[in-house]
Amino acid sequence: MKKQFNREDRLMKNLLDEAGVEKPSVNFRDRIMKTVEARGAEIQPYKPLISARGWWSVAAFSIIIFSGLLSLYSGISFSGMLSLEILHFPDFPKIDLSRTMQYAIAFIALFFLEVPFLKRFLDREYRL
Amino acid sequence: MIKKTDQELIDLILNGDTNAFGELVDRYQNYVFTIAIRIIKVREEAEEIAQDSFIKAFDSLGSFRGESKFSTWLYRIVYHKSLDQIKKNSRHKTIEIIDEITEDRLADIENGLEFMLSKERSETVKKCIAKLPAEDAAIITLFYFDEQSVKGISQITDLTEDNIKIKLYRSRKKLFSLLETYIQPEISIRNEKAI
Repeated sequence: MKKQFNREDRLMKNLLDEAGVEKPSVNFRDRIMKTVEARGAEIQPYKPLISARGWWSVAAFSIIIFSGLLSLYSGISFSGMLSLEILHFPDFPKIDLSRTMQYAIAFIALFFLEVPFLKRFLDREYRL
Repeated sequence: MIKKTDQELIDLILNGDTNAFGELVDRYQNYVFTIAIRIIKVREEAEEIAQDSFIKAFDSLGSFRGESKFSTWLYRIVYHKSLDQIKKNSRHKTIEIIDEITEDRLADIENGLEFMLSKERSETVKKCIAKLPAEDAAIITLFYFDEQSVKGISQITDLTEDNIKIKLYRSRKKLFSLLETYIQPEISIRNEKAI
């Protein structure tokens, strides 16, 4: 069985090698180059929408904001952080939301959660 | 002169050297056109699709991240464009002949082919490939002619590796059956002459 498989495989390879490639007409390349040059548009190399530097800035900004809020509402100063008093959880203001508002926030959160999945799906569907 | 790699040429194009794209066209035009014609079967349409594929590749070069070989990426474009074209034309000719090719029948095919002149043999093979369904013809071309790995073909076609192995097996059988129908008259004519 394996012997015949190899024989078929070898014969097929020889036949396709002999059949060779098909050649397009002589001005095929010129037509492509004419179109490409006519575009004149510069292709931009692939760059992520938010660069690594951008992500670091976002992270730093979030940490600063969070620390600011923490010091504002917990009433502790950063100089006291070293004495490990930060372990006391700060008293955040109590937010009272209606049921409808809670549902709205939940649905928006769900929508944002879907975004990475949708992106992955679309990337797979339409990738080149 | 040292030949530039695909990636070096891509970098040049991205830096505004459009002429470097000409070198990529030279390098791949025959392969791209062969894939297109094996799927579409009509020369003029295949040439148009091959041309569109190169232009699309140029336009999208910025999004090529080098995760796969450039050739795989390019063949992926031409493969899907060609399939779209035949869907548009709704010209989906398929043949379903999956005969078991025995060792004796394979020997007959081999002998019959040996008696043909090289040009005649290559014409016969081309005619038989043209009769294969689009997907089969493309897979067999990529596997045997361009020596793409099953994994590479899977990236090009979006089919699973197992599916490709099955399709390869079936297309080979179909192609041998088709070759047999072309060779059968040759064998009988030869036998008549011998008598």
